[in-house]
Amino acid sequence: MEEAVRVLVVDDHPVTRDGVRAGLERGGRAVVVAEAADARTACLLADRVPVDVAVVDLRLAGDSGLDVIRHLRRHRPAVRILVLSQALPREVLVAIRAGAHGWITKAATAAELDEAVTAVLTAPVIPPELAAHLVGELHGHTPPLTDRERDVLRCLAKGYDNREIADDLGIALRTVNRHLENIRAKSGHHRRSELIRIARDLHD
Amino acid sequence: MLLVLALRWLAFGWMVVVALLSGQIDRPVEAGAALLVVGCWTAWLTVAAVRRAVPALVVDLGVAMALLVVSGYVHPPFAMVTDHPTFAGIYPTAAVTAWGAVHRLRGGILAGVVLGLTLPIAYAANGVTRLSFLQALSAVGWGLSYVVLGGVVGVVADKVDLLNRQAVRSGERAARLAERHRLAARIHDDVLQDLGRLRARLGELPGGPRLAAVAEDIARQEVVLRELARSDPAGPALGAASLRDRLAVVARRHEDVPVRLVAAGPVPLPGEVVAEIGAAVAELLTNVAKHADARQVWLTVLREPGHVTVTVRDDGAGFAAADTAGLGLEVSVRARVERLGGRVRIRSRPGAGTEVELLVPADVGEG
Repeated sequence: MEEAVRVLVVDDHPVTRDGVRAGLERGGRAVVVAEAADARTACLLADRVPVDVAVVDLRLAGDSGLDVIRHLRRHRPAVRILVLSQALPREVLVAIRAGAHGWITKAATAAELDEAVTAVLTAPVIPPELAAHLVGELHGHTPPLTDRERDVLRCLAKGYDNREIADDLGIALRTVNRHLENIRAKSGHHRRSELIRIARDLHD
Repeated sequence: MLLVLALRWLAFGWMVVVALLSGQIDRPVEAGAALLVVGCWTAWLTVAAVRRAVPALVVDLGVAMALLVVSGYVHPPFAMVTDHPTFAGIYPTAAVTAWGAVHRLRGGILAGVVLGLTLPIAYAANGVTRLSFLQALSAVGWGLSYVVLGGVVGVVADKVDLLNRQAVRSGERAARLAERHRLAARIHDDVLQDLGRLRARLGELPGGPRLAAVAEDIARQEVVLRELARSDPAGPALGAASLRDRLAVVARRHEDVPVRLVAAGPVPLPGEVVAEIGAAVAELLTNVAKHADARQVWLTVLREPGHVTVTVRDDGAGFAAADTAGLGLEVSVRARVERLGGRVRIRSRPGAGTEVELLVPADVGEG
């Protein structure tokens, strides 16, 4: 059996942290090795405890999950970051720009969370809602999405998993992952006007 | 109408003043009787606060006409065609104003024409039969002024009404928006947080798959609530409806299959397009429930330049291309979508589920 995925959970609600821990333990593929309720503790822990995946809430009491994401990208670039949030797709785009590798909603089931934590190790995790949003959002975007990347997003929005996307488009799983990586990189780049709008949304 | 009433009382006061001070009244008894009638009529209109009754308007016009005739009668002959102030004064115009205020442009002009035509009758009744050219011109001018006044009052009343309605509408809209914001904030801050906590606590209980199923149900309700709280606060534009909201309703009605609705934003479209797509999706979902034996259905709305794509995908039994089981359905759904100028694509394989794609041309803005 392969080694369990080591997970850091950053969320200000203890109940949510417990839920993530319990859910992942039931799945058996990942184990929570550290928990933090605020950004400072999260950064300290990340520097000391070796982890593979960080599950981060964007809205922490008092501070922002974005600080944790930036810290991890700078000091622990090997850690994969999964945003666990009720946030709007636009906020999630900001998180992705800051360096997050995937997003999962708090409404996700334990099975979906377990799946996402494992999947984010090899490729960005883009849930259907975000994919549907990106298909519309990235029109007229620079750099534009390629037709293939758009196909991948459409499949994601229809609930395909990566394996099914590969079958449907007749490409290798590795190619699907590469497309996902490109989509992530492109959705992290916004025009200035985009960023202003996103910032405004965040402050509402 | 309050203005018309004020005009009446002013005009009545004018009549009293002219009767008392002008010194031109030949027949004081008749003038007194006319004043009494007009005074009573005005008082009754004030007390009864009549607003729209047709009989009252007709009587009012009758009073005005009678007044024009009487006005000539109480004065010496030919007084009505000089520039001296007349006994009737502007009281008759009150009737025209009232007609214009109630029956708008048409009512105002009608009353004006009737009153204008009364003028020559009033002249004739009082023995004024031969008018000089200038006198005739001035009489025609008076008659026309009644018509113009009626028309203007009618148009203005229409405009005022429109403004009023608009003000009420925008007030209601603002109130609705505020209420919606309040509800959304509550759903987001309290209800959703509590539900999330509840679900997490369920996860800690050693309940096995049945508790897990309950937790998943709660999760689904959370998604619905979040969508509600998030949905476009401004609401779709006039005559447009949200395709996402419509499909959410359709999906909830098909409880026997778990449907996951995926859509970026409310997707506002013309009402009839939303209704037609909703009906097509309802048929597809019914078909899935009946034949597919599916564990999960994905209902996806994608907005792209020039068109909207709605996909219904299940992970059920599927069918071979030669199979005609779905033919009736296909015809019906196809007919609906083609009415909208769109097209349908069906992909299925035995054991690999079915995917039906409805592609409908639409100009969907950002939102």
